[in-house]
Formats: sequence, structure tokens, C-alpha cells
Amino acid sequence: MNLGFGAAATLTGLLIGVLCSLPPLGLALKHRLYRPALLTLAACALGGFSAGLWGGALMLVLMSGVVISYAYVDREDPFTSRASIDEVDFSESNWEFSLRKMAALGRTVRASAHALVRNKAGFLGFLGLVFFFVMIVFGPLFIEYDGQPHYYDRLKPGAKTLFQGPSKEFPLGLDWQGRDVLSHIVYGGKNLIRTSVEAGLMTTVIAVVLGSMAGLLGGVVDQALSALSNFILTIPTFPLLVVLAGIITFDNHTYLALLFAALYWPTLMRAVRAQVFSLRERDYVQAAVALDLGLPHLIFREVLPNMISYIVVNMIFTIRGAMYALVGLVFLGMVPVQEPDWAVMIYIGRTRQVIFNARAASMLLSPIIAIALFQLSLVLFTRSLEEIFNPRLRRGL
Amino acid sequence: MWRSYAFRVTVQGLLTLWAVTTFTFVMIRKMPGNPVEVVIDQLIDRQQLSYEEARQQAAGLFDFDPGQPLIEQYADYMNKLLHGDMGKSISSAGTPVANQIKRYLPWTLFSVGSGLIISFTLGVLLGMAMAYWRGSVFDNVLTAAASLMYGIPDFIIALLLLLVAGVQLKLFSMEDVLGGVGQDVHAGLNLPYLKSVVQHAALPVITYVWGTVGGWILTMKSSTISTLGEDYIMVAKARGLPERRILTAYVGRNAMLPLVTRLAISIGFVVGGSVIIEFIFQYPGLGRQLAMAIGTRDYTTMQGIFLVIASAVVFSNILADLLFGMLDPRVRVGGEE
Amino acid sequence: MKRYLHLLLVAALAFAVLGMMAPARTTTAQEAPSGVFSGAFDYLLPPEHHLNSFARGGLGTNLSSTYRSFVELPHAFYMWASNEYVPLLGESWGFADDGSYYWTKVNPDAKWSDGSPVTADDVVGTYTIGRILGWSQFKYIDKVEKEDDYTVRYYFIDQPSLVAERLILKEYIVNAANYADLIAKAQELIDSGATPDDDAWSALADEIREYRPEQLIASGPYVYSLDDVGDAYMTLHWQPNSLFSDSVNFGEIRIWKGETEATTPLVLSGEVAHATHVFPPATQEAFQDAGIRLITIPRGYGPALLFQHDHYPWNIKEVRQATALVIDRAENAFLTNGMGATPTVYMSGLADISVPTWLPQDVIDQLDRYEFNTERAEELMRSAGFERNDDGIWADADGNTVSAEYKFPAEFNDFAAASLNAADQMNEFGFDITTRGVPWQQCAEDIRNGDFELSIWSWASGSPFPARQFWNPLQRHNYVGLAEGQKGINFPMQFEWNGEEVDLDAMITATGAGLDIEAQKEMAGKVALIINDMMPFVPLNYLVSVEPFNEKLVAGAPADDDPILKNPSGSDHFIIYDLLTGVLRPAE
Repeated sequence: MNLGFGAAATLTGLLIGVLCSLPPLGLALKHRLYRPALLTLAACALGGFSAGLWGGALMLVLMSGVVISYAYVDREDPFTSRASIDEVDFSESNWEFSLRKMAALGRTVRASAHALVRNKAGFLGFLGLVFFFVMIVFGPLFIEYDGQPHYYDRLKPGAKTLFQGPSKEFPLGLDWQGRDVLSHIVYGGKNLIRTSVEAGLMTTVIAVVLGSMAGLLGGVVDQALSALSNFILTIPTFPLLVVLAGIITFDNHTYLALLFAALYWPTLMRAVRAQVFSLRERDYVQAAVALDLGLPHLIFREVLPNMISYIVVNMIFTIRGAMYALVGLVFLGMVPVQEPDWAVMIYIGRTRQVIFNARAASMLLSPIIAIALFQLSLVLFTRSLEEIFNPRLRRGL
Repeated sequence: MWRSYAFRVTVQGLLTLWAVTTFTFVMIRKMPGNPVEVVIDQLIDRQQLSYEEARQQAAGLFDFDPGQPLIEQYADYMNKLLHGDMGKSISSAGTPVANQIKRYLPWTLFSVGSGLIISFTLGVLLGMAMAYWRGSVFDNVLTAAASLMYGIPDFIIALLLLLVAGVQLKLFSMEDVLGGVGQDVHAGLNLPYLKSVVQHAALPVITYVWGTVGGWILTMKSSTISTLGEDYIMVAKARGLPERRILTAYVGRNAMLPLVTRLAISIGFVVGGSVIIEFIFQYPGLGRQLAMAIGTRDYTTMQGIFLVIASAVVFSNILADLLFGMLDPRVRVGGEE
Repeated sequence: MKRYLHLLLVAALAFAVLGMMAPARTTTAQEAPSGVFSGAFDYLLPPEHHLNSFARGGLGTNLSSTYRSFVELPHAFYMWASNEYVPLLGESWGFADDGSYYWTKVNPDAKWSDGSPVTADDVVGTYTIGRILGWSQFKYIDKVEKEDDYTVRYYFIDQPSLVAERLILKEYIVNAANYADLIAKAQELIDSGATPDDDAWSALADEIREYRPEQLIASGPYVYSLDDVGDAYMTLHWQPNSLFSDSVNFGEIRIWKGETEATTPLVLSGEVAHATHVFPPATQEAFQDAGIRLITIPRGYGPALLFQHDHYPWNIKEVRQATALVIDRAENAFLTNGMGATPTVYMSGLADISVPTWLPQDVIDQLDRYEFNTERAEELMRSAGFERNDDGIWADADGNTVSAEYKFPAEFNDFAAASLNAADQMNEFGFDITTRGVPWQQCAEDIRNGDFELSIWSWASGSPFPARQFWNPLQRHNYVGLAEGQKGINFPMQFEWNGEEVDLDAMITATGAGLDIEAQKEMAGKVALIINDMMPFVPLNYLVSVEPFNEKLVAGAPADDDPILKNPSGSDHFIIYDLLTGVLRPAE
């Protein structure tokens, strides 16, 4: 039995969720924290139901933190205590240490949740993402996948195609084989979104790390990395992919994401590099350099927070780029034509020229609009991210 | 130091070009099919020739020997290239590649170039304004519009433009918008010709701007937001400098830094044209020519166009590095540590 | 010296004819007819576009077989319904009584656009250059000789052939004066006994390809110069000197540039009157909604499901037959291209339209039509030792499932749709098929190399002869017809059939040998029965070209039952004949 993502949207998943909620739930009830208790139960059950053991476990940790942060609110952090130094007991047991860390985690979760709700646009974006998540995970519970051609049962007399425009029975109409487009939208987003989000993350990580290295270290490292990025930037992508598709084919989506990342990191890398050149001259970075705090510290503590919103927006564009690049890879045969998939819908819709026919256009426009809305949700959601990660912005301007 | 820097950058650029050219040379010849085979397939399908007949007839169409060793072909090519000769097109025997580039490059530079300028300018201005009035209705509406626009691929935009504005609303006649210039005007510096050129470029440029401006808006906005949080902006505000001055002199300048790199890369790729737009609007640009050369496996034409694109990208990246120094005097790109 | 005299004679004669014609020409008031016929084709722009008829980028590339005859006439036009040639540039033609050569006679009234007559020298000159370029006619003939001013003889290498006749009659004749230098050089080279392997030969071929005539001299009623080639469309202008100048009703032919996606808005907006592109079903529907008539004519071929016979279990006949039975061809044809595809009926390896003409009735009655029948397929599978396993997939006694990857050309929307639907249907029966779309060049190469498990490419061809239809794909994409080391579908062509050793390769070739039609029919019958039983490939459907024809712009299009619509779109398009002979005219 698969207790991981396989348990999603099943009774098993729900059970896992409820089981996961027990420890924090007990703790909350013990401390008579009824609202957090209720939240805990809901969050864990939902987590387990939507992502099996993974979701359950994640929620278990997060919600435990939240409960602990309520329960142990009085426990002062010895390092920030205002009491006289003699009175503070610096000795801390492992148990106390982990409690303190859990409470800190819980506070972060709570602060983030507040930040999330406070910004309306950001919250809207969050809701959009939740919508896609719910559609992918729970949609199959309500809508049956329509995979087989319907030549005899849905052919209208005199019609030249099986396409149909939106109707009450089929809100998004029928595709070229007379199949329900809505069901393909519901079932077809999972792989595309997962692969392109992976691709976006990988591209961004590579670009940020290499860009920061080039900018911070300069000299030979910069020259080498610049040359490499120039090289990759100028290699004609299309013929390269044609050649690659003839040699290798993928069934594993992570490799696809990796391939995308390997080809598309230079643009963002050069932007990061440029920004780092500028940041490097700032006093606080100079100070960090002088203190010899190490490269990881420089990248993740000094450079990244200063560019975070730029990087996040670029990551979103990379995700969008990866989605359309995957459509191209279907054309090239690097991935099999496996339905249901938005990319396959776009590929077939494009070659069958459905755009010229109002009754048929749905199978092409639906996935494209879905991608556009997904991107919109991400962009709006960055508002909340900015509030969470860049607290200075909250102060105004 | 300046001199050694310029020298180093040039050498590095040339090396990159050589590496890319060599890599591309091998790669495109590893693509399935070759110019002769592509035509053999067409001849068999269209004229019902047997494979042998088609092979013979196809061979008669080309001055190209697929059997020649790769290394010999490479030596030939490099030798000619060093003498400034890009060779002749394979699938259009006797047409020099240089002539093809001369014919199509100006159209691409004009249409995509003006598209990029409009898109970039609009994006930077709007993005900055949105960051400044962050959270306002103006910002929210534009953010939504920009991300939706940027989510829709250009072929949809181009076809819908033709279908809705051209076929249904009849806002223009096809004759006036397809192609690079009308057939009834004479090339030269005369008003009807220039008018026709601008008129024909309108749809490609609109499509290009529509498809890219969202990206510029959102990146500029995010970049500006990053800058707004900086300490020196706070200091400037505390000093009571007028907001307009803060926005232009402090924020704008610094927010532009990452965008300039992006712009440089985009400028480089202007040369490559925008293939789909050129196909749909029959715009005589280099991008479409490249796609056709890829389709017919016209190695020499492909190689020539790729070389032009690569040179443009490398050159504009060098230019961007130099530009940083002007935008942010603190930066000395590639300067000695 | 003799040749010189000869030339003088021709010149004298030409003058005489000219003199005779001159008054006639002035009487037919030479005014261009009004009206524009607008078609569409993805021609090239200069500098790739030029006026050399022999090189790529010339007339053949830019005008396609549909429009080229308006500028350069071939000898004749083939009518598929009646199996006969009707004259264009030629007046008469035939095989020599002893079958040693073929002869054609140019219509003595034919003239070039510069007013000079079309003569045997033009024909011979055309072939002289064609010989240097390795034209396929020279597989059948070796010498092309002038018999008199208008008559030319083509000597066969061994036996006479109907295929050669077709190649000869359909060849576009080029103005020799425009290529005089090259023709002289070519003749000199051939006379010197040089062979195609000589450097001088390929050097001359290069010279021919790189030659750029300054003007086009046309035998058809239209002519153009490079100034007429615009970015969005090119224009062919009427000229008064052609055989057909008086009969055509259009003063201009406008050809809009673009492939399918770019042409569709032009058809919808009423700019293009007729287009030959492959329009997908959704577009066909949109045309109909816009009130544009759709004319359907055969495309000459259809998609065939190709088995890799080295891939188990496609080497088992029963499995192939079962495959043919579980794909509902009516559904498959409809999804392939709407009204643009018809389900295969006879499953004989011969296009259904050619079956009544070429197959004896008793053979037709014996053909298994493989009508959709899953029970029959299940029986066949069981008889070959297969059963459904726990997952519902057919597997043999050792547990090997019937599974394969189905590779198809991603850009060809009809082939792609045929493949996707066929795979869906096979999976529904209990095969395990995954599909993969690849660039067409990749697909073609993989099929030739045998690097596939299931794939799709064409069957039959736009040729009226059974030899040329059976050839695709059994010889074309099989080891027998491919280059060394390429195996294609690798279907063994020599095997025992009904207790008799057969050599299918030789039999197919024999259906096209000589001029004895009855013997050819008998042989075609045998081949059809073998293909029908062995099912070496599944002919899924036969494609129909669905061509929008805007009757608000052009009148006179043939009615749906007009026999000329039996002509396939690729090789003998009805537009050619109906436009030249004045059947088509501007709509009121």
C-alpha cells in the first residue's frame, strides 16, 4: 500500500491525517487551547488527505509548533532575556532546546499566516494556488476521466468533427475525439505543474548560486562562468533539442526539469551577477566579506534577501517558460504523448488548428488560460511572500 | 587597465564565438536527415519516384555531398569563414548566405527592435510606477493584466489579431498588413514606402509587445521593490529629498541593473527574430528564414544565421558589462580585485 | 555543318509559321481578360526565389505542380476517370510499333511568350539538361532525339514502360533559347562520352544550378518576373502568345504566400479563392460556416500503420490481422481528417478507387475486408496462443505482452491523429501501446533504419499504376527498396503462401512491366490477395484533399460528381485543366 502521495484523496489519506493530528491535538486540549486544537485537526486531516503521509507529517510538525508556541509562550529565550545575566540559566536541556525551536517555528507559521491574510492581492493569489491544488488533488473525486474516443455516441448528424462548444453537460466542451475537455483540464495539470515547478526551482537555484559566485568572487571565476553562460546562451536551443530527442527520451519528469534548468539558467544568472556586483560594494556586504563569513553566508544571508522579489518573479517566469517548453518537447518526441496532459492538449490543439473554430477552440484555450491563471496566482502570491520575507517593505513606501 | 580589459573581453568573445560555431557545426549535422534526404522524401511523396530515382534526382539539385567526412567539411567552412565568406546556401544552390542575411536581417531588426524598445520602455515606466504606488488599484489591475498577458503564447495573439480584427471586424485588409511592405510602392526614401513599412510592421510589433511587455513590467516592479527597501532610500527620504528625485535618481537607476542584463540578452536575440510572428504575418524576417533552413537542413544558411545571432548576443553582453559601470559607478565589472 | 544546316532549316520554318500566324494574332484582340484568380502556396522570396526552371528555388519550388502548368506547359494532362491523356503542349504521342522508343509531337501552334514557336529543340534541350541533373526519366530512356521540327523520340533502355510514358508526358518543357549556352555545353559533354562520375559532369551540374536567367519565357498563358514576387503574394500576368491565352478567363493569378496556419485566415476573409493545403477538420468546419464550398478530391495516399516485423509479436500474422480487426476504420478516418479521409474498404494494398480498374472481379470477391470485429480478433489471438492477463493485456504463454511504442511524425496533423486514435483503439482491445510524436525527418529516418516498433507513413501513391501503389510501403519502406543497411519494416518478401513459394518483390515489379495491361491486372490480383492475407501493414484510411473553393470569387468549379474530380490533388489537379481551358471564370 502506498502511504505517500499515493494515499492522496483516499480514505487512507484522511486516516493518516487524523492520526497525525493526534499529538498536537492532545497537547492543545491539555492546555485548553480550543481554537488551535480545531485548526490542528483540520490542517492535519487536510494535509493527510491531500498528500498522504508527507502532508500529514508536515502538518504534524507545523501544527505542533503552533500549539507549542501558544502553550510555551511564557518560556523566555535565555539568549534574549532582559534579565540580569546572573539570573539567566543558560544551561538548557535538549528537550527545552527543541521546545524553544518548535515554538519559534510556530511563531513563524503564525506570523506568515497573518502576513498572508493581511495582503488582499497576495491572499487572492494564495487562494488561486489552493484552487489549483484542490483541483488536482480533489477534482478526480468528482469528475471522471474521459479518455476513450466517442465517435458513435457523441457524433452529431452532419457534423464534420466531434468538437463541441461549452454546454451545460460539458462546461468546457468536447475535444477532437469527443472527450470532455474539463476532465482533461482536471487530470492533466499535475505532471505539467510539477515538472515546471521543479524546473523553475532548479533553474533559479543554479542561476542564483552561480550568479552570486561570479559576482562575489570575481576574477577568474567570473570570467569562466560568464563565458560558460555566454556559450549556453548562444547555442541554438531548437536544433540541440532535436538532436537530444533523437538520442535520449525521458519518462522521468525530474530529468526533464534538469534538462530545462541546464539550458535556461544563464539569463537569470547574469541578472543576479549584475546585482551582486552592485551589492558587493555596499558596506554591509563589505563588512561580511571582511569578517570572512564564507560564501554560503554571503549568498543566502546578504545577497538573496536583497533580490528576493526579483528572483521570485523570475522563477515564476521560468515556470511558465518551462510549461511551454514542455509543449515543445512533446513535439520533439522527448516525452511520450501521454494523456491527460495540458501540454498534449496544446500540442494537439495547435496542430489541429482549433483556434479557427469557435466550437473547437476550447481544447487549446482551456489549458492556456489555466496556465495563465496559474501564473497570475503565483505572481499575486509573491505579494504575501514579499511581506513575509522582506519585512522592511511593511513599513511603507 | 582599461586596455587590457577590452582586450580580454574581445578575446573571450571571439573564443566563445568559435566554440559555439564549432559546437553548432557538429550539432546541426547530427540532426536527423540531411538536405538531400529531406528532398528525397518530398520527391517520393509528391512525384511517386522510387528511392533510387529520387536519390539521383535529389543529388542533381544540390552541390552537397553527405558522404564527405565531417572534419573536411569543417576545415572548408572555417577556412572560408576566416576569409569572410559564409558560403552558399545548400538548398538554394548558388545563393550566397550573406545575401540571404542582408535581405532578411533589416526587417527583423526593424520590427523586433522597435517592438523591444516599446516593450522595454513601457515595462520599465509602468513597473516603476506600480512599485511606487504599490498596493493601489492601478498596481493590482496592471499586475493581473501583465501576468495574464504574459501567460498567453504569441501564436494565439497573432492569430486572434488576424481573425478578430482582420476577418471579423474587417479593420484592415490582409494586403495592407501581410508581408514587410506593400507591392505597389517603390523602395527608397519616399513617404508612401515608409508609410507602408510602418503599416506592415504594426501587427508584428503589437503582437511582440503584447507578448513581452508583461514580463518587463513585472520584473521591473519586483526589481524596484527590492531597491525600495534599501537603506539609502530610507536615508534619502529622511533627508527630505523630493519623491520624484528619489524615484529617478536613486530607485530607478539601481532597479535597472538586473534589467539591463536582461535587455542585453534580448537585444542579442532581436537578430533571431520572432519565428511564429513572422510566419503568421508573412514578415520577411531572419527568424522565419532560419526556421525554414532548419526544416530543409540547409546547413550553411543555418550556420550563417546562427553565427549572426551568436555574435549579437556575445556583443550585447559585453556592452551590458560596460554599461553597468555607468549606471552604478561603484561597480567595476571585471576590474582587478 | 549538318547541324548548322538543320538549325537554318528550323529558323526558316519558324519564320514561315510565324508569318502564317501573324495575321491571326492581330485579329484575336489581344487584351488581357479581367478578373483575378487567387490561390495560395508557400513560395520563396528572392534571393532564394529565381527563374531557373531546373534548380531548386525555381518554378518547381515556387509554383508547385498546381500552378506551374500556367507558366510552363507539359505535353499532356492525365484524366483519372477515363485513364487517358489530353493534350496541353503536345499534339500527339505514342509508343513506337516495335516498342523501342516513345515519341511526342509538340502542337505546331504553340508559342513562347516572346513570340517564338515551341519546337522539338526545346524538348530535346530540356532533356539534355535533365540528363546532366540525373532526372528519373533516364532510368528508362537513354537517348532523346529530334525526329522533325516538332517530334521527339525517347529511346528505351530495355522494355517500354507506362511509368516512363507518364514521366515523359508530364515533364514541363523549358525554353531552350533561355539556356542555350548550358544546353550546348551539356550536349558537348554527353557527346564526349563523359559519365556522371566525372568531375566535369558535376561541375556542369553546379553551373546549371547556379544559373539565374534574367527573364522567364513562358509557354503557358501567364508569365512573371521577380518584381512580381512580393512578401505577401506573387502575381502571374496574362500574356497573349500561349496556346491557352485565348481560353483563360483571368488576367492575373495571385498566389498568396503561406503554409496552412497562415493561409486559413486568408481563405476565411475571402482573399483566397482556392487552396490546396491540408486543412484539419476544425478548419473545414469553419470554412463551411463561412459559406465556402469544400471540394473533395483524392490525395493519392493514406496513412498506414507500419509494423516492425522484427519486433515480437508483429511477426505473427494472426496478431497483425487482429490489429486490423480491432481498429474501427470509420472512426479512425473521421478522426484523421473529418471529411478529408475515407476508411479503407478492400484492404488490398491498392487505393480503393483503383481496385475496380485493376483487380479482376473474382479477386475483389475474395478480399477479406477486415470489418471491425473484436470477437474475431480475440479468436485469432487465441489461435496464436495469446490470452488476456490479469491486467487485461494480451500475453503469450510465457507472459510476453503485446506492447509497443508507436512513433509518429508530430507535425503531420492527419498522421498524428490517425496514430493517436489507432493506439487508443488498440489499447481498448488490450494491447499496451504508448505513443511518441517525433519531428517528421526523425520519423522518416527511423522508419528507414527500422528503428521503431509501430509507426505510420503513407501507403499507395498518386500514381495510377498498381506497381507504383503496391510499392508503398512494401518496397519503399522495406529492405528490398532501401539503401544498404536499412531494413525498414523488414517484412520478408519471399515466403510460402498457400503452398506456393512466392517472391512478392518480383511480383510487384511485374505488375508494371511492359505494355500488356491484362497480364498486369492478373498479377495485380495475386499481389492484392497476398497483401490482404498477410497484412504486412494496416492501410488505415485513404486521404482526401478538402479544398476550400470560394464561389463568390470564382465560378465554374466542377460539380461534385464531375469525373475530373477523380484526379488526385498532388499530380493532376483539376484546377490546371479547368483554368487553362476556360471552365473557371470570375464570379459575377
